[in-house]
Amino acid sequence: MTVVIGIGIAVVAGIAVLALGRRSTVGGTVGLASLLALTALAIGIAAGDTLTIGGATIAGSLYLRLFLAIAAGSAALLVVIGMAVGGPSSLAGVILLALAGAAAALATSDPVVGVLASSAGSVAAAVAVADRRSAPRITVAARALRATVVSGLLAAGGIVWLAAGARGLAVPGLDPLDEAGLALGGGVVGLAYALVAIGFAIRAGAIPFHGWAARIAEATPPAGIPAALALGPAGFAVVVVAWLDGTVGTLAEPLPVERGIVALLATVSIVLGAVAAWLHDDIEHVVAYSLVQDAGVILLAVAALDPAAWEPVRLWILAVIAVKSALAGWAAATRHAFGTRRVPDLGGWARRSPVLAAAFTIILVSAVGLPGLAAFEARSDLIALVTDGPLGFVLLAGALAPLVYLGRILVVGFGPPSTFVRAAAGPLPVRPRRAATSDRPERSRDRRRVPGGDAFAALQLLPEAWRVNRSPVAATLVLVLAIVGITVSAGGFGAVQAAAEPALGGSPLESFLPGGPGEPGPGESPAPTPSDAPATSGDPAPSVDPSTSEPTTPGTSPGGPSPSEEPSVSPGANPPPSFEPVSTP
Amino acid sequence: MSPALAAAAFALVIGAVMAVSAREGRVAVLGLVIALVATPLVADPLPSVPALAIRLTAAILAAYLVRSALEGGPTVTLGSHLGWPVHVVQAATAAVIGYGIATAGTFAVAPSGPPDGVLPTVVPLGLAAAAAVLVLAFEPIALARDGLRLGIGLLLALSAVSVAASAVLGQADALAQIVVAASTATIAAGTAVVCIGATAASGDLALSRIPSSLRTRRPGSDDPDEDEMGPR
Repeated sequence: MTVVIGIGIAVVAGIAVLALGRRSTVGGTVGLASLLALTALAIGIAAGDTLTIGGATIAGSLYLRLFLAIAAGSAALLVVIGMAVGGPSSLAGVILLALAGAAAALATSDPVVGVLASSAGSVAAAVAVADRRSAPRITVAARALRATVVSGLLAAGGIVWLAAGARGLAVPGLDPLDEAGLALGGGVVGLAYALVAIGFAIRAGAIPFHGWAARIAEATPPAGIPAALALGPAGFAVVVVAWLDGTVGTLAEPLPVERGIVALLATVSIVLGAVAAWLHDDIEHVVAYSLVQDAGVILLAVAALDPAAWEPVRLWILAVIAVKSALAGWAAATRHAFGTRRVPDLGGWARRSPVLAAAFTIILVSAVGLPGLAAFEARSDLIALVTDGPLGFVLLAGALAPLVYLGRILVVGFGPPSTFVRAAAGPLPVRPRRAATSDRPERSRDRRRVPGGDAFAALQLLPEAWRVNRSPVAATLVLVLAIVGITVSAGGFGAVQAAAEPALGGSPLESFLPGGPGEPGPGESPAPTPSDAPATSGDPAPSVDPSTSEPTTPGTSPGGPSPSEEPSVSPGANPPPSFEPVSTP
Repeated sequence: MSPALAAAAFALVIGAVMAVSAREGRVAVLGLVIALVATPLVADPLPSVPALAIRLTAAILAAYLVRSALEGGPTVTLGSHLGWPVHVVQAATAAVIGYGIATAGTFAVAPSGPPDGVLPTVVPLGLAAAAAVLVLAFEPIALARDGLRLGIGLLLALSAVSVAASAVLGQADALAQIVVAASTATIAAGTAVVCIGATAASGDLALSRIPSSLRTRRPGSDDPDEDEMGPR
């Protein structure tokens, strides 16, 4: 019930904030209050908290709780930073709707519903850049709308296509391993996998589908970049990986060509994303291309097609949300503090603003990662799942590239101060002037005589204090975001346990077949026995407890146990919806 | 095959042809509303009454949003490259292929066919209509020369996917119906924003080219946030 209330608040408040316009104080306040309420509600989500509506189940989980708490909490800080730097108040509305879509995607076991909800939630972020005074901006919004919707429809189409093919395979009398079954399975599964993978690649802005993402990063305020390029794709990615592991991953189809292409897309995104982030002088471009890189890492999980990718990719997604929110906040605060977004013009910024420098250093460490940090190990595990040859070194080098492109910005920050930096205000808070007492001194003295008069006078100074201290406030909040980011990267807040949580029960066919959730649908095979355990990619198949239909062995990666040694459970736990599970010879 | 189902499928395809062929925006929106209203009806069995009400409300709301975006501005779209005769042929060809897949293709590979009462029966007309609408939606999405046609293409593609899902897998549950309805309204709202913006910015519905150098400060602008893309 908590999940539904949270989604309802996000949708209603998001629409209200957008309806109030781009520069509405009321809208910004409502949005901020709603984000804080959503954060509090998220903390109250309990695993197993379910609500059934018309045969469909919306369920809470540890992962949803952490995802929503981190995303909504970070978004609240970003909105305050946005207010401090003079960004549009509609930012809160865009974020709220994106959060609603992501939460709905994570709360449902139906992947079609998940991808459509995720896409619908991101539409506001796509078109929020539309401005009547700029024709190019309208085109950017239209292209972002197209990418957002088409990606969801491609993935939904792939899921439906596979489920449709499963009907043939699930028919009694047809052995999935005989000639007809294999022929059907290969074609259906390969096309479905390709559609879903390309859908995600478009949605996340992976190279070569990054054009719309780069443009929208230019058109949107920096504090809004995570809403456009991280929140929506995050929910989408979790749904896609759960679906892959629960369906395609349980089949004996190796899909070498399709997976190879996806692995290539991932590699290109990681490597060229790093190159682009390094070449671009605009700090907002750096944020955008670092997100393209992150999308490449998530694509590795899609290419791996292995239940062992479940835990690391979900952990990586949490880290991306937290760390890239901090990076976007840093970009917004830096641009406001120094009046420029070009790296060459930011010489000496770190010496001028030590708080921003401290925050950026933490962000750098979180983004690059250190051996032992959960996010670093998660990324290494994903790379190891896809390749262990020379390509692995390329991927690892690309993954460590934030050291270069973020390190460059930090090095510039300790260089000689630029004109922009010299002209910037100091980093320390400024005491507001008592402007109200100068014209009416006698009235001010009278107020001090009444009880609480000093407090009232101090309250009167708050707007002025906010006005003159916006840069220090923004810098402090960026530091808070950075600390949250490195905590999540290190596996804090229970991120490792949440990431290892098994997927919600259900199947792609669940909502379309009579019988409803929780019951084996007609044509659905019974829970597989241990000997029928799904086998994928040549890795040891997790054993399946037939009584619970959940695997009992940790979903460790080939590289060894997960860094936290937490027992992880593979998402392939769900019995295949309508495919007979097949054993790898 | 019930006559009602056939009529709904026919209305869906005819509405889609109208929507993608018409140069006049109001006619295109009329075609869109026909297609969107027919979409939930191309199912066997029909959705429950509440689900149907939600879908129809979303369809009408979507059409209203798109229609209202055209008020006070030019309503002529850039039109189709192909023209309505080609679209009719396209739709008919795709419908035949979709029908063929449903009756003799992938889903009939099992020797005994889907046993009645165990799996919902494939609705060949639904799959035929979905294939036709999907093909029709391709051109406006891929070329996207103006905001209205892009939005129409996206809404028709959503219709095609939802019809295909219910045709192949049986009727969706309440949550799926709500999400499809919400997606319909959301895409329409996004389309309306793009159309209103395009009309205000350039005087017509056409989408302009994006300049290669976006970071150039606009001449005469004092706003440090303002560049070729306009203010942020």
